[in-house]
Amino acid sequence: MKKTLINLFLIIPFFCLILISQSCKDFLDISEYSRDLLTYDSIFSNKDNLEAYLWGAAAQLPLEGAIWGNGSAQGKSFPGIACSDEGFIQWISAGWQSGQLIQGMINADNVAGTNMYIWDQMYKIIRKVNILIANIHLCEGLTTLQRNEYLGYARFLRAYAYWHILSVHGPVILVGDQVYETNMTPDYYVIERATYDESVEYICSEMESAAPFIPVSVPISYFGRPTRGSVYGMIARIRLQHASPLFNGGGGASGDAGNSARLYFNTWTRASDGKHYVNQEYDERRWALAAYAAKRVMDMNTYSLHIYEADLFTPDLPANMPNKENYPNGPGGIDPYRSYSDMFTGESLAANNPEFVWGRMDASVREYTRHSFPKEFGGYGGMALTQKVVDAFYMADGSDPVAPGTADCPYDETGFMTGIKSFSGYQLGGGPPVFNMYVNREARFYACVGFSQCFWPMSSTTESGKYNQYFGYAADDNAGKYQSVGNVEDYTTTGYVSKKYIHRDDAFSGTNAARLNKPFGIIRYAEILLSYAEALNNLTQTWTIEGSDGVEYVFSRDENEIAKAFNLVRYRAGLPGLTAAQLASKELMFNAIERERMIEFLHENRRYYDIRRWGIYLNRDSEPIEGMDIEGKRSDGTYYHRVRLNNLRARSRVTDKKMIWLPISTTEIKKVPTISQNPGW
Amino acid sequence: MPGISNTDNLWQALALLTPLTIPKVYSTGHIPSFNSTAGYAGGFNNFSPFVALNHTGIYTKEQGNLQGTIAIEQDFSPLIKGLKMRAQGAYTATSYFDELRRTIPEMYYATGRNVDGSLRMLRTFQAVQTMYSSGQDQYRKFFLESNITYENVFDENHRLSGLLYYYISDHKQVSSIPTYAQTLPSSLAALPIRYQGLSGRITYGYRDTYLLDLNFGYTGSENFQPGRQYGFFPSMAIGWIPTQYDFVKNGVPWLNFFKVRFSHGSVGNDRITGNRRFAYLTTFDYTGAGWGGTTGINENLVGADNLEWEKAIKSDLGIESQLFKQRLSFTVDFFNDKRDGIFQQRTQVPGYIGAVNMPYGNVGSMVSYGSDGNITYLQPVTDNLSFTVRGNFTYSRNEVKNWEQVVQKYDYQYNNGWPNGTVRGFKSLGLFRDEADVAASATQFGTVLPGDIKYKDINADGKIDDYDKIPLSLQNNFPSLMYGFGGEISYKDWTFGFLFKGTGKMEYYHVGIHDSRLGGNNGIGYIPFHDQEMGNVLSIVADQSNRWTPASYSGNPATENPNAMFPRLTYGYNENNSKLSDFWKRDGRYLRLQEVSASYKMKLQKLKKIGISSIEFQLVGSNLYTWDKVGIYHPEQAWRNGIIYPIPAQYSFQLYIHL
Repeated sequence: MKKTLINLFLIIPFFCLILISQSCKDFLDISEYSRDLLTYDSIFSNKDNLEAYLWGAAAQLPLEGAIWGNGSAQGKSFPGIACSDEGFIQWISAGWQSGQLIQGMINADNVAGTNMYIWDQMYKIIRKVNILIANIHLCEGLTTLQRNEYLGYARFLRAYAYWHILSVHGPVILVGDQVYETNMTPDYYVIERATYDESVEYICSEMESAAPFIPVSVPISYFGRPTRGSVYGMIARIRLQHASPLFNGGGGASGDAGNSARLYFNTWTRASDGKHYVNQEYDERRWALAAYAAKRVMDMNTYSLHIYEADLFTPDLPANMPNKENYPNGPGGIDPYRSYSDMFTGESLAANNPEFVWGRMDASVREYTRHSFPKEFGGYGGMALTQKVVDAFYMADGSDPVAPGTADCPYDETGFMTGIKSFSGYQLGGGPPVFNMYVNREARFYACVGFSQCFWPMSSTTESGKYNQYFGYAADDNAGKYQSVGNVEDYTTTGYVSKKYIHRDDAFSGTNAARLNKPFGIIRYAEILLSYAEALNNLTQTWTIEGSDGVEYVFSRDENEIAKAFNLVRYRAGLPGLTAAQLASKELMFNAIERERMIEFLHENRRYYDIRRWGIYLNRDSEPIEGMDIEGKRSDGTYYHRVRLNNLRARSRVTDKKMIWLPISTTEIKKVPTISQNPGW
Repeated sequence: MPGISNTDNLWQALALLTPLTIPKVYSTGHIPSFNSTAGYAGGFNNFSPFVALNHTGIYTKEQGNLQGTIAIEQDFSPLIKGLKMRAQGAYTATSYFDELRRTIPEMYYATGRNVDGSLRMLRTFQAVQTMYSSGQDQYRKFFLESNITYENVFDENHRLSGLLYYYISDHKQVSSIPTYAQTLPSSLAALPIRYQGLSGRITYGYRDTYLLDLNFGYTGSENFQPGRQYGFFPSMAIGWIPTQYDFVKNGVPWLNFFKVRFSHGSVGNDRITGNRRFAYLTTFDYTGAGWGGTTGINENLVGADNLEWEKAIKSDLGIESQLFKQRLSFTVDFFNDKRDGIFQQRTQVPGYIGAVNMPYGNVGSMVSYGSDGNITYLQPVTDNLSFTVRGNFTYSRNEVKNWEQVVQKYDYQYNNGWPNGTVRGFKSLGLFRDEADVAASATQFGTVLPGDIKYKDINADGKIDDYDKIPLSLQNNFPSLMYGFGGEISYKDWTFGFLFKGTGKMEYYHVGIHDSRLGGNNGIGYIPFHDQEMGNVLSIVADQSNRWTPASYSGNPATENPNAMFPRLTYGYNENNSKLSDFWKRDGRYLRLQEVSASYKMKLQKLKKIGISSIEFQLVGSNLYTWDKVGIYHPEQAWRNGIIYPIPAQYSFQLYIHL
């Protein structure tokens, strides 16, 4: 008995020890360890974290400049250049998914694995914004002003993500402010897509309500952040797209374009209510809305076209120029080449550029200039421009490049230029003679087109033989097909490369070779001007639109207004304005607008969307790819004539109306069978 | 172990290199190696086992184990009869210390002969001096438990016992800190695994005839979010022993013992396959920022806040009996487990909700059922002679009830309704007879010629692809039935015993199964020249009748045998013929003479004087013979085409001295 008692004295403290030392309740609790990790609570209670959460979401947007169809290094990318008629590449390797798309290798089963598939990623942004909206009240350190500003950015970001989906994949699924549960049974996730109109209205109304809370300007160090003008500019782009024939029952156009909405989308209706996903009825008021949206940006008086005042090296305007007044009343007093070129090459300080309604610094633009440099000079050489683009550029006096040209600007597709012409820091000739096709062209031609025997200064390198070169693309030239050693696709198939973003210092080979940082103009003021002209051109009656400032604006097809906006773009390029005949005719005006946008926005990812929204995608994209005869030689002149590309990839290039949009992944549709696939996929 | 690899690699090298590829040592004294890179495991089985054993250094492994237990037990019987209390704490620490001293000799491959007849040597491995590397690992566990037990018999007929048990445990291992594809912050991944539980049991027996057993477990795991950490797992069992009745004892005297029992209850699992821990937590990373910001925060892993314990309902019906003066005894059990809420990474959560990755959910369910039993019969013949025979079997099957898959195109692509681990592949239709046959059939893989394997186009879309894969076997190399039987004969001091072991239906594949050690298809070493110079060429291939040979070559149309064991010979990997299909399916069932033993027990009076009661001599042979249909390999090696450490036959002589 005595022994038992002693044991009891031992055992009771022992039990107590167990119970006290490890308080049972906390034993399984890991919050002590996870406390210092980020959680939703710690993110939304702290202003800095809240902001980081917002910018983290913005970081998931594709780089707007990732338009060359690659992008494995940058994440997401756009079909862009290689999938429109302004460029042609042969690459179809894993990194070149736009090449795969245009070759018909992408389908609904494999599209989710491509960089162009932004459906999932944009919804990740949308979810983050919805989480932020639901939790922002937790942050106590925010003033009402700050809160509204963050909410403004967040809602614009969400709407912008939707816009990306709408442009790449078509009608979106609208999830509103809902943060979906992540672990539910399939019936919880049943949903249908919105129609195109519903998508646009949601996106625009969200952007409209976000805009007043977004600052009008940002400090230079935050260059890249959208301003109120960026939001208005984006609305202008969306409104114009919404008014365009393909999405507006024909858009008042005739011929193929007028039929496009029916041709592409007539049978595509929503299962639950039978509504057409894409509207089949023409509504002219949308053009008026688009005009207002553009006008609102113009009326901010914040933006103007980028100009560089004329200096010693500026060439004289051609003698036959009808209007030599100084800019903005005419093309005088500015250097057109530098006015245009400097904002792409990185020469001009991007953050101060009044033309960037929204721009950002973009390393993908800088690095992908490499695809224009010849193989022997550190490049990949195959980012080809099509002959169609080359022919689109005007002569320096605004005439068409048709032989024999004008007295001041003769045009000839035979023979060669003698001597050297230097202007605006650009040098034409100096190496083997330059083909007459490339002489007397407008300034933007020289800024954009790398043709045979173009001069490449590549001044950053100090290695002799690597700078001050003349590249030729004939079979016997230094950058021709047969110089593409190692990779047989690293050469231009047309005899042209894209030169728009290349600074005269940029080089990829040789000691000290370097490239200037470059901005990408997400929205340039030139686009707003041309959009305004386009919207007005489509009006047949007078429309009154109540603006966001409560004032009523009246729009009609006012030729003076059209000319005022449009001609600014022309004058800046050193060209004469529109003719009276063009201004008088809706069709001629459309042709002028199409051509101007093709030239002005070459390799800025507008053409891909433009030919689609105009309903002329099938017509334009099916035109054969042409170029110089790269199998021919410079020595016997056989290179210098235009040919249809005799190239495997050119032959197998796919033009199909389903390619208005990328498909939605089969997996997504299998998960939610009520999501309707895009037509044709 | 050899410094370059483990023992399995020796067998790989044996199977991957033919004696013709490289000799033991070149006549010039150079150490041979076939290739430096083109092999598997970094080219390290490109040289012979002889080289690996003798020239590559040594790998040693030490393991330390420390265990401490302290227990206190208190009997409260003086106060309450049958009440006891016990507490125990344990600490276990295990540490490993691996040391590797690896050298690589200079190795060569003879590519041919020079004009003067000397060997033309290509250096495949550069000599590497002894490199030293070591690996350490530590594991430790705390375990603390305490219980209160109570046991008493009232009025002779009522037997009551109770148990209340509480425990906490905590263990962690340095090396098991996992690295995920989707990374959990390692500060969390390194947390110890902890459990805390309270369980109890009440048993009641009436006259030892009616038995009742009630249990519960209330267990908590650190792996779930607060509020869902604990799972409650009750269970019950009942038993009935009719042989306890007097009328049975008297009326059926040959029935010595009979018991029927049934149990039903639940158990839980808190661990997700792949050691994905804290799946309820959403974690974040600092990332790049957009729009001119400096820092960004983005979700890294998405948590699911409704995760809870995975539960299994287990039922078991059993019969135990002894008959005929306990000469015959048997036990049979039938069981059925239904497992619900199995952790699975979700696949049906659509992209439009915007989750950065798929969370885990309690979505799977599965049933398994089966039976096992054993029987023993003991027959004394005379006082000196007796014999015993016994047998046992286990049979189990399972069926996936719900396995979340994205909606599939065809019904046969679903896992639901099939056992877990069902092998899916193509259905073969023999070999292509001629060009016309190829042209008239669905598109297959690569360039297909007569003599290649022809697959069935299940969905009839004109091409063979993943949609044509159908279930081929219930499981790869895994039998649902296993059995054994044996016996003993004892005569005076001699005992002679034997034991057989066998399996029911078991299927395996020579080709098409992924083998990570080979970095791909397991066909190497079975299909001749599958990997060009590497890999065995089996003697069965040399026999023409086993393979398809074009008539243009043999001059005899009969050699174009569409039912041959091997398709046409090709050099190098043949994409079409290396697919997983039932062409390569073989029957792996076997019956093995597991053990034969003879023993003699010597009892001598003289020995007793020195304190030894008896000496027993035993001769044991194990794994002596196997009856199977595999032929060229041991059946348990066959699914890896012999590239695995084999089960050796063993003979041993044993001497026991009983004090």
